[in-house]
Amino acid sequence: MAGADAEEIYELHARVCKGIADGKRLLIINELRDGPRTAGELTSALGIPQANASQHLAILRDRGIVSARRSGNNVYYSLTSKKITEAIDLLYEFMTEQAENLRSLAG
Amino acid sequence: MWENARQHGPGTLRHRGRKGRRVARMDAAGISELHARVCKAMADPTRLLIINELRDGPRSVGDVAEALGISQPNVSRHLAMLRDRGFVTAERFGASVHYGLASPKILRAMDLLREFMAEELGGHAAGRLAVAEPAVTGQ
Repeated sequence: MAGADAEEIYELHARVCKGIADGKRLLIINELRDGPRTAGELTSALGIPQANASQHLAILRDRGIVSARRSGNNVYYSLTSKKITEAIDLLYEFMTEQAENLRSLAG
Repeated sequence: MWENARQHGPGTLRHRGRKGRRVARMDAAGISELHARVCKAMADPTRLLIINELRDGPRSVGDVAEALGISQPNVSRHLAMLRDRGFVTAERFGASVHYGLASPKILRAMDLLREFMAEELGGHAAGRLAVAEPAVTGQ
């Protein structure tokens, strides 16, 4: 495992991880599990300002995590791959198991 | 919000929880905790390299440093962070301390993100990294 290519791969990998390493973006991804949503729908579902939602959606799009599709006057955002949510689920399970372990150690 | 959980195959741990209540429910508090503790820990290339290095089993700081060509203090610092977040555990073997991954889920999640990235590179972002193979290590 050597060379600039490997390093570059890890840089890009970290970029994907940074894409999901934000509370609001995790909430948006979670909301998109159930299907495509407009920025307005995400805004009202999550109670965050539309400008803020748009900003996060732009980052998610840049990382390829989310894609946008125009339908009439609306732009619908959706997840491009199940792998992202699977990874988030695994990390969430890992976290909750850890919390359980800590509790059983304490109790 | 979490219906998709049921669509996962029986292979996931979701279905065989110790206390029969494995189906994870993510609420806002859980999500912000996930963000702060877990996702941030993975959002660093050096830490990803270190996690990858522990794939085949526990290693000492010296082993990891040598394999990656990174200074030992640097590796120690990242390992301390990963240990703090519960990603790695430390075990003493005689004079040396070996660090190992706390859960196979970490690796699986990392590999999924890697696969996603490789697909991305193969797709519309292909021009962004023409030289690098979309390598999925450890396969």
